[in-house]
Parts: sequence; structure tokens; C-alpha cells
Amino acid sequence: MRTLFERLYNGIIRENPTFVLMLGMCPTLAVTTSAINGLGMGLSTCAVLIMSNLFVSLLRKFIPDKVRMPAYIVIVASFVTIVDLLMQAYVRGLYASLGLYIPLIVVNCIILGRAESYASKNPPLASLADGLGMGLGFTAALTIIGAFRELFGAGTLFGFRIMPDGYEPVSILIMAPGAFFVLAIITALQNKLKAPSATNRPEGFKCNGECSSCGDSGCMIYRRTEEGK
Amino acid sequence: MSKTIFRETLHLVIIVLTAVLCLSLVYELTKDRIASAEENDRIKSYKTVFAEAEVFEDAGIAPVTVSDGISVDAVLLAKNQAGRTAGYVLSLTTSLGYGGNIVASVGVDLQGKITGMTVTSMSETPALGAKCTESDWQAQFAGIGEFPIVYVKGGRASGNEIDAISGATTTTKAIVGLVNAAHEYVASNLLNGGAET
Repeated sequence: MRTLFERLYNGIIRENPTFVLMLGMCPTLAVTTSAINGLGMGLSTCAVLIMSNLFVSLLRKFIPDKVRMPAYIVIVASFVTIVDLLMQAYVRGLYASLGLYIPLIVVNCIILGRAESYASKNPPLASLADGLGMGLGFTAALTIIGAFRELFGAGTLFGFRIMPDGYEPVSILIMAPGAFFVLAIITALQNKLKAPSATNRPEGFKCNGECSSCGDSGCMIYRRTEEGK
Repeated sequence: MSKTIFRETLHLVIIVLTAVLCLSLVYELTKDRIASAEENDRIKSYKTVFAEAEVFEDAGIAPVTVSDGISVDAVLLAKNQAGRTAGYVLSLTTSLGYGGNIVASVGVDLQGKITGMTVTSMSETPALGAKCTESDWQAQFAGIGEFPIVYVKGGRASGNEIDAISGATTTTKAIVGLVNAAHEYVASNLLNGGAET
């Protein structure tokens, strides 16, 4: 039970995929034009992440090591297609605004990253919790960025008018450059406050940068130190 | 070549086949629902441009380019409850938008008046040109009977004027041109000469 909560906390706060690991930047930048789009994309990714983590974990002894990448991609792509079809059939409104981005979930590095670094080495239940934690962390991050851009870029929040009528929206925030601005501001704040993030020093991670005692090869600190060698 | 290659291939094939099976199952389950939802969406968009009509029938007219960058893709007969043709719904594409093609449906009644316009697909700039999908802006077109329609910046006055979307003149121009083309097409091909197909 403790592992499960630990995984949730890990995904949402400690190793938040967007703010800390800085994975999956492509959908983060592309779909966060409004809070509802961020939420929808986050939840769809979350659903795929939970299912793919669960199945990768269940099949971790069955999938041969050498062909694990194609196996993961097939599993992830199948779940993405299922989510895509279900959305087309049951939530048309959301599909209309997100339809373009759903196929992109297949190559979302958070999903492959979690399959590779966690689900392939851990039991199903913990992997499921990891997927849920990471998915919720991603959802929260996308919704926050989307809400910020929508509030200042269009004066609304979840489609409701928040800003007074006299407010002149900063339209550039909901255009593509706005995504970079918002993300840059957040990252700058993280660096300034020495909060844990991929652009910052590894303090705050459970490993404290000591990769030899951790063994999480998907961890970005590990990857960075490996690349540096 | 390693000894394990057969085992690896076999396992991968099993995974792929299982995935294919699951996918075809989900496809089969959602197929009808998706088809009917798409049909509903289409009828709903026709309804928004021609509220009086009940049934929409394909007039069987081949797609035609009417002017530079604008084409009429489909013409539907809008029929009222009694089954009489009350006007036409046209689906048009213009390539004159800011971000590529804009597809819109336009309703024209037998007097040549615009009954409504709705944008069905576009990729204009969010917050600027993309405002052309807002129903408030689209509603301006309903009821216009004087042609050609022109756009003005701030405060439409006479019957053939449309408020431009601020900051998106190209989009406004493209859509106004599209609606004018729709009217012209109906007036010269369908109304004059009483071509009651």
C-alpha cells in the first residue's frame, strides 16, 4: 500500500513529468492553449499511461529484452487507438479539439520512459500506480499551463469569462510562442528557487545524483551523467 | 544470428496478433456509433445554417471551382416539413485564409437571402482568425439579402456589412468572399431559370 501512495506522490510532485523530468514537451507546448484542452490531453495520456504501464508490467517476463521497444510501441499504439476510437464515439466535443494530438501520444516520451524505466522492472500494481501518478502529474501540469495561458491570453478560464471586460487579452500567450514563454518563466522560477527540475541540480531526488545506488536507468540524472562520460 | 531469434520473433508476433485482435474488437464496437455521431454532426451543421429545413438531400452536383481559390464542394436541397425545397445548403472551400483552407457551409433561401453560415474546418490563428468559429460572429451573416457583402472595421451599419474580426482581416476577407461566392453560385445556377432540381 505504501508503494502505491509513494508512486502517486512521486508522479504528481517529486518527479512530475512536465515540471521536474521535463518529458513530453511536445504535447505540453502544443495543446495547452486552454485549460480544458490541457485537462483533456492530460487525462487521455493518463488513461494510455495506466494501461500501457499495466500491460508492459504484466508482460515484462514475456517480452524478450532485445525486441522490447517494438513490443512497447505496439502496446502503446494499440491503447492510443482504442482511446482515439472511444473519444470519437463518446466525447465528440473533446475529440474535435484534441483529435489531431491523440495519435501523438504514441510517441510521448513519458509513456515510453515509464515503460522502460519503471513498468518493465516492477510488479503490475505498482506499475499501475506509477502510471496513474505520472498521468495525474502530467494532467495537473498541462491544466495549470493551459489555465495560465487561457486566463491571460483570452481572459477566460475553462471557457468562463474571468477577467473584467476592459481587460485586453495578451493574444500571443495562446499562440505557439506563448507556450514557450510560459514554460520559460516556470523553469526560470524553478531555477531561481532551486526547485528540482531537469535544468537544475539533482538535489531533491531520492538518489541525490548517486546513480550507482539507484539503478533507475530511465532517470534523467543518470542519463545525463552517462552522456557526460 | 543469435539462437534466441526465433523465440523473440514468436513473442513479438504473439503480442502483435493480440493487439490486432483487441483493436478490431474495439473498432467493431465503436464503428456504428462513430458513423451516426458523424452524421449527426453534419446534419447539425446544416441545421445551423438552414434552421427551417428538416431534410437535406444531396443535389448531385459535381464539385466546381467558382472563382480563384473558392470551390463549391457539395450542394444540398434544404427541404421543409412538407418536402418542398425551401433553399440550398452549400459546402464551400476557400484557400484564401491565413492558415490554409477554410471549409464552411452556407444556407441560401429561394429569395437568394443568406440563412446562415458556419465554419466546419479551418486552421486559422487561435484567438485571432480562429474567432471565425464563434457563433456570435457567424450569426451576422444570417438574413443578409444585399450583395456583395462587405466587411467593415467596427460597427456594421447597412444591410450588407459584416464586422471584421479584429486582427484577422485576411480570415474575414476569405469568409466574406466565400459567402458571396455561395450566393452568386445559387443565384446564377439554381434560382435563375428556375432550376428546381
